[in-house]
Amino acid sequence: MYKLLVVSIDELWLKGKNRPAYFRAIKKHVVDVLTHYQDELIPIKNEEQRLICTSEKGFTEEAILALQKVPGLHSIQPSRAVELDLEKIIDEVDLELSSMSEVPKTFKVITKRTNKRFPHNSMEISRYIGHLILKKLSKYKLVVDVHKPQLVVSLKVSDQHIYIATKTYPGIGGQPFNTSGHLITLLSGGFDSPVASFLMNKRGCRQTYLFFYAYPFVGQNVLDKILKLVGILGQYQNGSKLYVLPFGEFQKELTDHIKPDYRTLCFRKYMLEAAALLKSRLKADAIITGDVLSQVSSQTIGNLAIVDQLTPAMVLRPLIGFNKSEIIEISRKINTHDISTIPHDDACAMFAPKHPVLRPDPEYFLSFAKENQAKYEGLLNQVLDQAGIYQISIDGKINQLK
Amino acid sequence: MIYLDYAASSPVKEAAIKVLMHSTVNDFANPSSNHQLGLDLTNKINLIREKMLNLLGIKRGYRVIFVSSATEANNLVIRGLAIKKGDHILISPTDHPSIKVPSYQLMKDGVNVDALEHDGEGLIDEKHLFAKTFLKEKLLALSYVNNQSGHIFQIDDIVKKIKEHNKSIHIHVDGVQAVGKININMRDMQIDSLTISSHKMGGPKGIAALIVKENVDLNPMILGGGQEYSLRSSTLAAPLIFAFFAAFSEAMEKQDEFNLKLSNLKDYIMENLPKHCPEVIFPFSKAITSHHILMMIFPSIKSDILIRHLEMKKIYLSTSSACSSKNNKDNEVFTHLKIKSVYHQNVIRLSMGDETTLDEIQTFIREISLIHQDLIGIGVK
Repeated sequence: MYKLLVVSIDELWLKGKNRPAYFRAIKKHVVDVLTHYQDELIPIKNEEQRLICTSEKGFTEEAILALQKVPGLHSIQPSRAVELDLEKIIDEVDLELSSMSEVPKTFKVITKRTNKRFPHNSMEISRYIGHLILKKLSKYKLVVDVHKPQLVVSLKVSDQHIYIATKTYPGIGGQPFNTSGHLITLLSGGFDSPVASFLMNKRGCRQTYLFFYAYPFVGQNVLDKILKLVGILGQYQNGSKLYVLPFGEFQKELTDHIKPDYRTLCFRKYMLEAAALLKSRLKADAIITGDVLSQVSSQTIGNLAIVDQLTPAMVLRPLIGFNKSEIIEISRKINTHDISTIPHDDACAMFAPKHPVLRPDPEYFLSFAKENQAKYEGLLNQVLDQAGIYQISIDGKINQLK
Repeated sequence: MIYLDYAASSPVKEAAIKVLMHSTVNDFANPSSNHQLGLDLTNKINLIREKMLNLLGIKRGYRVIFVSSATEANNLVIRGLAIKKGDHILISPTDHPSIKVPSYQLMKDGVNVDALEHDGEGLIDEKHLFAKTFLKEKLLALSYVNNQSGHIFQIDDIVKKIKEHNKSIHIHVDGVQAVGKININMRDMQIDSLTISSHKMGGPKGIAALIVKENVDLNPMILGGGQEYSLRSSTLAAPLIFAFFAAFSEAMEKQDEFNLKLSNLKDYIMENLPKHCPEVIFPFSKAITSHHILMMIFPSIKSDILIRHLEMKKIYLSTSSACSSKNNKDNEVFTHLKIKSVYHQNVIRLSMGDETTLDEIQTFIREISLIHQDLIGIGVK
């Protein structure tokens, strides 16, 4: 097991004066993840755009996989360190190779040098170490391939050490957690909303998940799906919450009062209204939905526009221009795919009219909303008061608070 | 609360609770111990075995094997008989998973599992059945009363005819939904083994019995101290056995009274529910089903939605349709009971017990009719 991790940070170079604040945010997240998974104190040193983490016990695979989910990280490299002496590198490479179950056939050396006082430049170092590997480690019968090597020996020359790594775990990149606002994320059991949530994780948003639970029209199986999904999505956050709103009675109430072809649009409007109320209660900044333009009838430009006109909050729709296949591909990568495919009841479909409205009549819809504003806002506040609240820990474990 | 899911499990009877509490405190010894405490318990348990056989009308030739559940009892027979590759066994596709799943397991070992056919009323199609010669069949495993529809299958008749063809075929009957509910007299029946369960008749969970002919060879699934004639090693759960017997004997004693009461309640539902909810369908007639189970179909509303709305009123019933209305697979049991596939998501099972009252049934009829009307009104699909 490796006792040293070199963690590289993404997009930090974009930052100017606010760089220390971003560095602090990401360091806090890394510390929290590693302390949780390693169950020990992890000293972390800043070295330029990198964090050097050391563990007495050695880092577990589980901890490294968890770091891959920390927004803002470019990559994680389990590494070995030597003094600033090129001759010391070769023994470490030997150790690396001897511990591999299958020795690769081709390799190349890539060097990054932040220590500009080091007497050799990156190209020279790479060439020299490549040469040493061929000569001193000939027992491995490696050959150089600079285009498609099976093994990349990565060297990082810093002020005090040279770090040697042969394996790189890519991070999800983007911005550190909790540096881009707090968003209310609307989740359903489908493919889209978890992917939308993931994309905004990359942009450093803190998220509170919101699920509209239309019990008794739908059963516990939908809530179980949502809990599984937030268990995955929550691992990209550093502690998050899920609000489960009892929405069945409210949907029934709407159904009794709106024209049948406006039902789905109306559910949408009041779901966003509820999200906006929760946003105000939690002093959050905006709402995320998994909307995709024209995917279903309630996502026509006319329907999205009229609902936006009535929603007193900013609505972010990271998937608006995505194709379904692109969304499904991401869902596979983030492991929400297999949960999203579990069949579930959908209350909106249950109430759905045969021909939902595609080009809503603004006069009817806006006047309906206006006339009923006070009544439905009151009801939605009651629904919010009755919400079930779940805490999601850094490792995705869920605990019901209310 | 109105509980109408007795076929799933029943409240524990007072007599059983008393026995369980007393025995848990006092009968702590191991019945297999060689000292007086152990011997006393063994004697008491053996006496109970005898009494159970008597209540079932059996004089000699059978044993009572205590196990942890009816599922275990069914497994012990199906997996414990010496059934080999190439042998045939017969089961009903309408049956409980504790019969079907171990049978399908045998299929993987090369055993032929033949399915009984059911006729238009859901009963066993005897014409189809007796087209067979029964020469290769090693086992017929069947529930006496179907747990979902309440069908009382023609066990007595079928067993006699099959045994005329093949005396050595093992007939195993799962009596979980039958014993204590309908009249069964094992004396005249030629069945080889019978499963009964404690918690379906007001006893505690965790105890059941396999009544099996003495000359039947079974391979045990649990090995150890050799309890239960070496068929099921484990320390005997004396308090559970005593409580089970308390419930069992009460159920047998009050069977006629119970039957009359439930027959009346079933009549009441079948007569009055359609008055308030005209679309309801009772797919099987009262004459061929046990009084305690009533299957109902509401063609316009999915059963899980109805069940959850009733649950909100603290009325509890079961649905065995798929867990999700988006899961459009047909239900195997319903298909073989000849329920049209368009109704598979609209089936509700109501099951009653000795504590069910007319008042509860009236409330149920009133509430389900209101909910049904309401849901139809808003056009829920």
